[in-house]
Amino acid sequence: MGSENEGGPVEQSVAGKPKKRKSRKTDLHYVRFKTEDGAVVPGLVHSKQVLPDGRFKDWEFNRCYLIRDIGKIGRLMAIREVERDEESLLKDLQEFRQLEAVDDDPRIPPAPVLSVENLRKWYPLKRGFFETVFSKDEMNVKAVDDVSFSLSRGEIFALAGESGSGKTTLGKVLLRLVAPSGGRIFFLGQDITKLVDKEMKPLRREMQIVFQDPFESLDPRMIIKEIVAEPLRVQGSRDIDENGKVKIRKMGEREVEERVKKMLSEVELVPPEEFLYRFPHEMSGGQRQRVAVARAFVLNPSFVVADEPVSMLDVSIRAEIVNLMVDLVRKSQASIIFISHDLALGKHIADRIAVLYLGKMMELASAENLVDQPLHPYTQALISAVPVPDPESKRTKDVISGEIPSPVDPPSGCRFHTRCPYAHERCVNEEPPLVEVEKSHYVACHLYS
Amino acid sequence: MLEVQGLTTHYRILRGWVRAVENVSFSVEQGEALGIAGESGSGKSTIALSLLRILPQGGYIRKGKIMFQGRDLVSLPDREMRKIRWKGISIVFQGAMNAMNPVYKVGDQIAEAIKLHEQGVTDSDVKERVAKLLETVGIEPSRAANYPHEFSGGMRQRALIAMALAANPIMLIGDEPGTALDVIVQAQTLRLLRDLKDRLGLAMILISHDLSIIAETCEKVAIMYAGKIVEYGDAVSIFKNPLHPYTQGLIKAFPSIKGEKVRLSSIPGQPPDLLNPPPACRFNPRCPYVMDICKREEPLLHEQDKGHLVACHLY
Repeated sequence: MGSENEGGPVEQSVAGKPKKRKSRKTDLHYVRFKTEDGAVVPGLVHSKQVLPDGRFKDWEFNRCYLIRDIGKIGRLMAIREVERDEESLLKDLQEFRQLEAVDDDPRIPPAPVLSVENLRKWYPLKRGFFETVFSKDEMNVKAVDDVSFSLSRGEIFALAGESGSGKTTLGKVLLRLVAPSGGRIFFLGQDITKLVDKEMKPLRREMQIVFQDPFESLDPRMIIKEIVAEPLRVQGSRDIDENGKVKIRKMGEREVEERVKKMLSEVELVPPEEFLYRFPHEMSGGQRQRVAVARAFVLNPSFVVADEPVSMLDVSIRAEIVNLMVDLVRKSQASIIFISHDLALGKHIADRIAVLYLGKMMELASAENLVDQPLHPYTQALISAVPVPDPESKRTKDVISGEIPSPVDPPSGCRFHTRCPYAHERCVNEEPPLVEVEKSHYVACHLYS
Repeated sequence: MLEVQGLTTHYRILRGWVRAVENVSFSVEQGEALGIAGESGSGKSTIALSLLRILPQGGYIRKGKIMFQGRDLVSLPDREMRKIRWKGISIVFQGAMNAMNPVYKVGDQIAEAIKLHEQGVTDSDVKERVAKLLETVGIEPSRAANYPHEFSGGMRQRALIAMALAANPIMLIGDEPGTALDVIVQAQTLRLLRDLKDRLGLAMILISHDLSIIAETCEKVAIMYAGKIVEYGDAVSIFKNPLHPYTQGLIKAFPSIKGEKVRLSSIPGQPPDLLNPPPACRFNPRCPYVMDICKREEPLLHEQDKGHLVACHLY
């Protein structure tokens, strides 16, 4: 378009065209079914059929369907946006209406509540004017770099690592409290990587967080009743009528109070009447953290991130809060990501543990397996650094030296090679991939590949 | 070297006296480390502050003696006390992140400690001492010219230890030296403290809520509950054969990295309000073995096994 030719009508038509195409694209959703033989069958649905909480008008996430054109039963796994040619999309769409709901098939494993693929969170660094002129490379703090895993229903998943390893950032990205810089997040079968806040809101009732410090995470000017009731007031009550339709309605004052009381007794703040009208400063640290837990679980979420929930509490109270959370998770079948630097605690409560180092996942295995037979040198170092309450087993092993390097310019190859006692040439040049060395025990280390 | 007898420290507030430390006795010899363990609010830190007489406003030592090298620190005039601080007893505070002045270079802050406590040292001497101190704690002497924000958490903790050692003290108090540090850095710091103790023959008091830290570093342990010592003895017998129900609960509440996966156990209830603590045994509202006598009579700390003292009516 020439500069002399700046006419109104011409520009309008140019601007209008891509806009229309964009909206056509988001009309379609790409879905994935997992069949009984483990194969993944892709397909498309019209977005009119998708409800905001990851359910379909006619089909439901994590349910089994008969896919007529291939004659197989599959469980609906994920929904995501497509970027393909529109003509071919329409053809696929027609084929995919050939579905029929069937009873749940135990042969097909349930779909994960949450799964992430190559998730990344890079924070760009502010640079001076001269740096932008003279060097082209962007400087980034690689807080989370290429992390993939999935979380099944009712699972307690611990994230361990030193401070600066990216545990907390990962937790926040999973909740979409910060936007990821790359990769994908699926939550209840829906791709939430790029959802805008408005689309996220109905999903927020399913995802909650418990923060580290109960002295700062509760509003000092709100009474306990209001703190626990706030999620109920924001999200309302979700009812499912006999036709399977979801309805969100505002809750009445009496109903809210009932729910709050019930929740307070579930977190063992009994009798609840005694605590309803207190302010946070009138409670002890342990009680405050119970309130934070109550607030997180009051909407019956399917996914909770607990960010070092007990590290600020006394040892004698710690166990109570941890047990309380484990019980709530077991009872409500929620999945929880338990961020903790304490591997001993992780071993006792988690189903699986992932060890992070400078934003990378170094090892992932079942809790007992990881602690009793750690494979990665970093995990081994972390475990041998944990003090043991036994004066006779004075530590004989060497503590690894140094501290976690800066995530702005992480070491080349394996990020741990600067501190690793087994580092060799390959570790400096080549980044080890996360591979499965034993059954469901993943390690990113050249010693095992 | 240090003998504390019947130390009682209270804080005066509007509603009365907070009985933070009541009738506490212990002793530390040269080259020995004593661990003081307990929940927050049990009076551990108050003991440390009392030893140095740096209690915050409203805090008073109301009874007891603190015998340090044959002198009673409680009745010492302020001017004499100043000579004890840093040269006799020095302290490493909790929270390595905030304990240093952010606008002075690390080396200058250590130099200040030397200059204040020793008269007539030349500048070049001080410089040399700072370099040597940093080397002792494993920091390159050239880093003395850095500001605290240029140090990592572990290095700041090391620099604080160097500062505490500036005037060659004979006793070092560590107030939660490992808390707020990562496991690996914490292990490095504890190893450093242990090495220093052995190398310089320091007497040490380590205050922590983390029993495992104390188990690894100390030979003697005092378990505090609500301002009182409930169990006192050498580390091995306390950890192998805990007598007081509170000690047993604390040890059980610790998830061990070794051993089977189990459900964690806890001590139900809250630590008491020290304004009006429970009568007689202060642990009685939370104790699983509570008897009538526990609510009437205060149990005295007595020797149960050789060198193992406990304050409980069960024995």
